[in-house]
Amino acid sequence: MNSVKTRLSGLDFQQLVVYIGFLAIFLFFALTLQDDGFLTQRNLTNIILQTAPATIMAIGLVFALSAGEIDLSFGSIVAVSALSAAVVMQEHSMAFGIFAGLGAGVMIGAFNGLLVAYFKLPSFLVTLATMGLFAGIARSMTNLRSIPVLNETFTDIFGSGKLFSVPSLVIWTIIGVAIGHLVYRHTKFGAHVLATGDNPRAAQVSGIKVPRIRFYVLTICGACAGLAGLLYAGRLQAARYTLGESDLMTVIAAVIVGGTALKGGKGSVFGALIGSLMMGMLNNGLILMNLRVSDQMIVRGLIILLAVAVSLRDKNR
Amino acid sequence: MTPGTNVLSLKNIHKAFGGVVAIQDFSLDLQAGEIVALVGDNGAGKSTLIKIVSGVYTPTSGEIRLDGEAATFSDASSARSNGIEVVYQDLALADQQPVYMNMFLGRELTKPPFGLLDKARMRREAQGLVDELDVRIPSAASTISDLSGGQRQGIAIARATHWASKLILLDEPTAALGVAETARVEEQIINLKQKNLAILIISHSLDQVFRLSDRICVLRRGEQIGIRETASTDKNEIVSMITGVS
Amino acid sequence: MKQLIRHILSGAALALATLPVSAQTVGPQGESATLSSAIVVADENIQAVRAGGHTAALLWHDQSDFVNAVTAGATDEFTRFGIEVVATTSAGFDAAKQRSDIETALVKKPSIILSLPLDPVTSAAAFEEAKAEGVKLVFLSNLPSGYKHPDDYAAIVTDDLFQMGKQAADALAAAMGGKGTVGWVFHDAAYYVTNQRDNAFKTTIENDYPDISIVAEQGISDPARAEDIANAMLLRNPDLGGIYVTWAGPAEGVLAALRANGNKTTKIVTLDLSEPIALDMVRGGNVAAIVADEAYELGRAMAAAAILDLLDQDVPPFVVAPAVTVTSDNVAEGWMQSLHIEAPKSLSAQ
Repeated sequence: MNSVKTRLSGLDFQQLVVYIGFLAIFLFFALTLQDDGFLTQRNLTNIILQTAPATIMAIGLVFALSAGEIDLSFGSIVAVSALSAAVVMQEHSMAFGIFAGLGAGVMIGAFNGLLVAYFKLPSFLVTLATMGLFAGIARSMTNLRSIPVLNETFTDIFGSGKLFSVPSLVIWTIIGVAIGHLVYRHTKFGAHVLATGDNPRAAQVSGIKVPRIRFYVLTICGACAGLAGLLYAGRLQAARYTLGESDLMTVIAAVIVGGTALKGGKGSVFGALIGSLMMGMLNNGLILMNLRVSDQMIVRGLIILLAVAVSLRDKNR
Repeated sequence: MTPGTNVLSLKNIHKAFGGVVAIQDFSLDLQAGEIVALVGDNGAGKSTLIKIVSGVYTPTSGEIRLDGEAATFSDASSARSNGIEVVYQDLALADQQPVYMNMFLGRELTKPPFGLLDKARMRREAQGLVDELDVRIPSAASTISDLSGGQRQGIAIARATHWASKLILLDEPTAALGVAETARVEEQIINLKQKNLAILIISHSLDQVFRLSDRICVLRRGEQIGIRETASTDKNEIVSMITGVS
Repeated sequence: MKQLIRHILSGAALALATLPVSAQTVGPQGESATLSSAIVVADENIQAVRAGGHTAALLWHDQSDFVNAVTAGATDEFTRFGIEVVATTSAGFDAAKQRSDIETALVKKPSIILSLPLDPVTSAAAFEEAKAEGVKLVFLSNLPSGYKHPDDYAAIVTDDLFQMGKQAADALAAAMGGKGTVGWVFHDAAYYVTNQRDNAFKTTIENDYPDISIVAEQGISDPARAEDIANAMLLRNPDLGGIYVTWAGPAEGVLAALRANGNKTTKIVTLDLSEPIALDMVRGGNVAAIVADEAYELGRAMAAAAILDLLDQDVPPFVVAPAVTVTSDNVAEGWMQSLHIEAPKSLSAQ
């Protein structure tokens, strides 16, 4: 009994539930939407393309939540980053655009991190405030105008291009998840993030620089949001102040369903990917089922509720 | 290490917080393979003393020597790098992480060429350690939150043992444990003696103090009342030293 | 019906910049308007269309009374021709979600997409795939930038914005007996929809009613400030005969100001249906009339335009749905005509 439990301890129930849920929803749609094109390669590719930016945001959030922090501002960062890249590329080359977009994300994330780690403010309140602050900045940057992105190399790399017939957004998803997983599970930094979220005092007396970890995770969140902004700008061939605005709840749900604890100390980058794909698959399948818009929202809400409830149930045992 | 050399030597340690004196004129020598118990009422200054030795507090005045060398610790890390480990009352374990990651918390082993965590080796070494100290847990990969209080204390002590080269400070190691678990932890502490480590233990249980220690050092309101050989004193004497009532 | 305003907030700014104020509604590229009543698919085509086994997707920007009415109008027209609606989506004003919705809907291979592109810039790439696959596109109000009629899309359908402003002027003038002074509360932002409507009101009063003069003009960007603005306006012009308010939200604030001043004589006219405004009107209060768009007709016209395109018949590039003036005499009919739903119970109980 013990040995079974031990073997499963790396993949406990909370982390398994997302895979089971994903599979269940997939099978349900595959069976009921057989004739509606759900299983076509085109549709399945669509789901990955559509969720790529959210998946990248989710990776950042796994780090923040695991360290016991939260970032509510990443949606606003996405908009600022996409607009920065688009505006810069109107006059300058792609490299400057990428630099501006990622740079904006890293800097805003570092700003959040500074306030949380060194001014000792709670990340919930800091990022709640910066969410509004940078949403306002995104709006004022271009006076609510959308900015087209005409640089085709950029839109290929971050949007509609392909490498060896694999769409670039799929490649970004794979790279993001691979790096995220490696850092999270197989580096000292990842271990220190988990320890910080699990028991900050234990981390601190073990010589881990807890404030530095807090600073880094929020900066990582900003960087991921910055990359997500570039992906949106590439995909839409334009940037707009509303980008990322509606991703907050989807991404948080994806990360929680994916087995990351809200209170820190536990998480999974791979689970977040599956969670994100699950959200995308729900959107996709419910539209293909031809439900009314209100019903789509109700069903999606109920399924997320169920998934979160099941994935958190284990906690109290 | 030549026998007879003091592993830790505290001379005239004085610590005040603002105008409040927490420790006054405390002196103690600790030898390798020796267990000294620190006893006293709440607020007597035991925890303050532990924090001074572990580098959390800097003494206002006085001298700390390690193996005869004057030592100043700027923080907990520097005390740790000098071979001093602390087992805290709240154990300082990350509950949702596996045993082996806790064992190497903050000092994780990595492997070339990319400096990634060497989980296999950490797990192996952790397993060896818990086996050696006879901490009975399902496996070094078990999650801390699945373990009992005694098992957790065992892990905390095993971790300190693994990293300490000179001195282990134990702050109320069995306060939260039942009778059987206490007995097991005490066995472990006695085992540490054989590893030639110096041990300073805080305990409220005089029975335990008499079972484990070689000498007993009594504190009252920051003042060092006296040090007794455990073998040549009794509970009555210690109690009256603690309370100041004879 | 703030949504009605919001639905075009998004992209319309650029259209305005290039548009002169004119005597009628013109399209985003200066197209002249064709009335929606001219967009009719003859019954003799029913068999031909039904035989085609066509499908349609409705990809909206948001959810509202307005969108529901447009959906109802379009769905009824599609049903008449045996066209099944295979997907309905709402992007919640999110350009990225709209793009995803289009991709998802395309999996069902619809022959027709009706959509309100969230804004011209971001929707250009989003509709590219649909365009390339030869789906018949009919847009509501906005046009993806660079799209050419008739190759890229069948038609744009929108409200007859000029007519809405003009009818508001006519209704207010009638309520004032053709003479007096008027306050003009316009939307102080560069938004195609509201600017067209506001200016149409002003132009009509100035050109058609020599005995009515606009004595006060006040822009508004935040509906919450409407009451203050109305108070200031009334303070300077106590004998104001009427006030035009750009849409129903701020009109509620203006109404509150009039009530607080015990003013029972100044008439209000505004745009878009709203239950509290209509309630004041049926009770014989300050509100003289509400001008609304015919959203149901708009949806019907969108569907009809798409079907005409399927039949390879010519479709005019820019189609407008008429406006309806709602007064206390025709509340029930007006609601039905505009939104294709029963008027709220509170109104019919009067």
